[in-house]
Amino acid sequence: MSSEVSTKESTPANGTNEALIKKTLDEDDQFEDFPIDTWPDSETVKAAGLADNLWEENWDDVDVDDDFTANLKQELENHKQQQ
Amino acid sequence: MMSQYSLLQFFNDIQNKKFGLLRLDLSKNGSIIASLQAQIHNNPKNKDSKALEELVESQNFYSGKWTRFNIMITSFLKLCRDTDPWSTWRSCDVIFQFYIDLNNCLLNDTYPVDDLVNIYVENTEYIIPLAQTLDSNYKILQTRKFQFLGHVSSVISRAFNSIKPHNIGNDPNIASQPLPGKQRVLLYLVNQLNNIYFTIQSPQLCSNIFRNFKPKSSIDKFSQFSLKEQIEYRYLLGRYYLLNHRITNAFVQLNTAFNMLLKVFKMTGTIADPRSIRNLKRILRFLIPVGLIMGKLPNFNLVRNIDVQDEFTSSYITLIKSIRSGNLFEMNKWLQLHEKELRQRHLLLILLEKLPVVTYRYLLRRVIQTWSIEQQSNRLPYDVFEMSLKRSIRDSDTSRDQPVDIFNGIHKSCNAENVLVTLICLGYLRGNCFPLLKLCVFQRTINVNDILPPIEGKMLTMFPLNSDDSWLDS
Amino acid sequence: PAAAAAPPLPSDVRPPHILVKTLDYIVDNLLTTLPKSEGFLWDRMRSIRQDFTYQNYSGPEAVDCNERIVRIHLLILHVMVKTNTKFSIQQELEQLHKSLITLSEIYDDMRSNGFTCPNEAEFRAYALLSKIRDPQYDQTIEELPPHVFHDKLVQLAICFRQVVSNSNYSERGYIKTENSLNFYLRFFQLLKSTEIPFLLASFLETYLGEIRFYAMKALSLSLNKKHKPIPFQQIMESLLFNNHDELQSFCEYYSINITADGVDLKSLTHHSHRLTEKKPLAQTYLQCVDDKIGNRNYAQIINCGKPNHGIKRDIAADVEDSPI
Repeated sequence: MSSEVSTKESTPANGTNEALIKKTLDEDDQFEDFPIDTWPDSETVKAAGLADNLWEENWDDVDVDDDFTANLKQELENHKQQQ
Repeated sequence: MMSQYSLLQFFNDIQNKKFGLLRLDLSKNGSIIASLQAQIHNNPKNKDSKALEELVESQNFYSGKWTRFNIMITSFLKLCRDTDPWSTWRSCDVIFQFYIDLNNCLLNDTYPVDDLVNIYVENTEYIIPLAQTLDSNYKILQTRKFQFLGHVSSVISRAFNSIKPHNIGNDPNIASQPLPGKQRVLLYLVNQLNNIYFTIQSPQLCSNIFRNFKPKSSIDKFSQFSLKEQIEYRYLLGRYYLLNHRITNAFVQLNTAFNMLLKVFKMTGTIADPRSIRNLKRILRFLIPVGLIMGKLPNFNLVRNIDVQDEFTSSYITLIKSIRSGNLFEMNKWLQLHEKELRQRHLLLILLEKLPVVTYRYLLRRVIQTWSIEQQSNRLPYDVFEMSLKRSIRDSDTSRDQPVDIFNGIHKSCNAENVLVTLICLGYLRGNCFPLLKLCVFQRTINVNDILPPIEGKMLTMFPLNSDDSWLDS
Repeated sequence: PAAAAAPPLPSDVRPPHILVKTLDYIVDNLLTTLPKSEGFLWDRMRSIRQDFTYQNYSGPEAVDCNERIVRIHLLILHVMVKTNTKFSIQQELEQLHKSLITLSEIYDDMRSNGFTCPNEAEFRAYALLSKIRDPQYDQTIEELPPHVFHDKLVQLAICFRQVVSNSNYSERGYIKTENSLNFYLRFFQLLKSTEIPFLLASFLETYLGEIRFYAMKALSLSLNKKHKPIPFQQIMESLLFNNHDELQSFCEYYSINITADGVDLKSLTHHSHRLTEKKPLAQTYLQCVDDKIGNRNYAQIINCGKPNHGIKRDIAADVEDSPI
């Protein structure tokens, strides 16, 4: 019961917090003025070749090594035995 | 006091098209506005609006033929007369009225509107933040939530609508002429409008702008616009696609914007500038989630260089682990943990809908690898997949009394067949279901990629890019 | 009235408290005359809404009436189909959508003035179901305060939107999107569960036909060419057909072959649930939805909300937007 009361009391405070985030998010998502005096033209940029790639190549085969995967593997192996 | 800037001088300067005088920004133009204010107040004859009007008319600007120009100049003098340097709120009537009157001058191309384009852009740069400030105090001012910014957007959209393409295609004479002023700022206006629509929570209004941008442009190659504006346009278009759940389209626009910006910064050596880093980060906030929906894996070395304060990098690494290990429970937990922030960026529900298929696919990949391929079998019994789903979703440990919510209500391990059917229909699983045998059958192979081809290729075939955007690559 | 008709005289427009009484009368005395009175009720409810519009009134009485009118439309959708009575579902849905839009506008307005309506979440949930495949509604609901977003009905409505999302859904003017779930099995499991209240379920019944169609379509795409027909019982259980006849007429409508063993899903060739050359398939209801009514009478179902006359100033909202 007491915990329920405290959640209720904290609601307005959360609301304030949220408004703060909301405001900063909205404005924050807008591009800010760029700091470069002379922008190169499109052709120069095109000719400049590749930038660093943001995405990994052959990502599909990058494996994850974690408890979940290990346990799942174990369970599948056990299941094979029982067949 | 220094010698004052006189009305006479003002009129003279306007005759000579020194329109920079019409700046709204008091920090740049304050002394001139103050001088004019003092003069207007000192001469009771000029104080009423009718007298100001007549005074302007008597100057015979543009031989007196351009009525809207006179109205705009009068409006500026009224602004000088009434502006209260200590309160934007009390001055906002005259400020907005002047901006509207200036905008009106731009609407009819039979007049020499080009002369006013620069000051129009400059005042637009001033009025948007002003409107934002006023709107952020709407409770105190007792205005509607986005009243001022909404108003500004309706003004700018009239300027946008007035822009017509002039045909330069066939006539070399016209082609060699300089581009009309409004054409030069077309993409600037487009970006301003779209930015405002996002800010006032009406991004659907952008669709009209995106649709009409190309038909209005005299420039037939998108690459001829300023690079900076191109990048911002793609960023906004990408976010718009994302809101409409159009993943491949969103990805291409955001990814191109990111690559272009990164290249520019590298070429100009400004990559370390905090502002350029922040803009790259803005793109990444939307680009990374879209990439994940396409099953892509970000290069975190690069991401860390941009997200230096680790606002999201570590967090996304956790999410990616859960996706790639096929762990729906952890995936949902991550979404729940970041719910508030994702909701505010409109990423929550789209991730909730479009990420699970990727996670299911990785789970199935692991199961087929371990169970079927290792046993040289080309089958997967439903019950083996169901058992794996139970471990992934953990739906058996949630107690029955727990209310249904968006994190526990959608995925159930008993629906193994439905998951397989959905993956097959999306092209992510090459195989067949045998409901009577409770079995999934696929090609006999030792390479799991033959059974589960990469997502991206399948996605691009099924959801081709919007052909209207192809000119963005021109 | 027709667009050209002159607006009514002020003396002909009923004031808010009379409109509430009019609706009270309908709820207390006329709902029991359904299905026969559907046309009459449709007309009376529209006229109540119009009278609010004429006087540009959006106070608590307007909220109350619009809310109850939405519930009545939802009730009618189920009752008409169940009793197999002819009616225009388009017209019913049209008024339902309009009422929901009116309510959303009033709620938004109230909120920006610092007030909270006690039943808002329920009707936001219905709104989510009214355009169940429109991404714009995701955006709207994400912008609402946490107490609405986390409301049980809203969460359920979002679950349903996710579950029915479908990358193969094909209809004019609709743009397909990537990676959608099409969890038809979950749709029926959820619908059956006691978690889903009657009115929400009644709204979802209007989607039964298309969910079943795309379930069969998806299955047919995943089956091997030589796959045998699927036994009737299996399909009836997973897609919740009330009886064999219903399944049979469904298959006939979509030209799906039926054999002695069951349904030959591979014979399904249509790509969209809407067959332009045919009139729409008759709506169906679910026994499990009907059971949700329990021993309540219709008036109890309609008058189930919290009172609106006590619409409260939202303290949280006040704090929320105060300048920092």
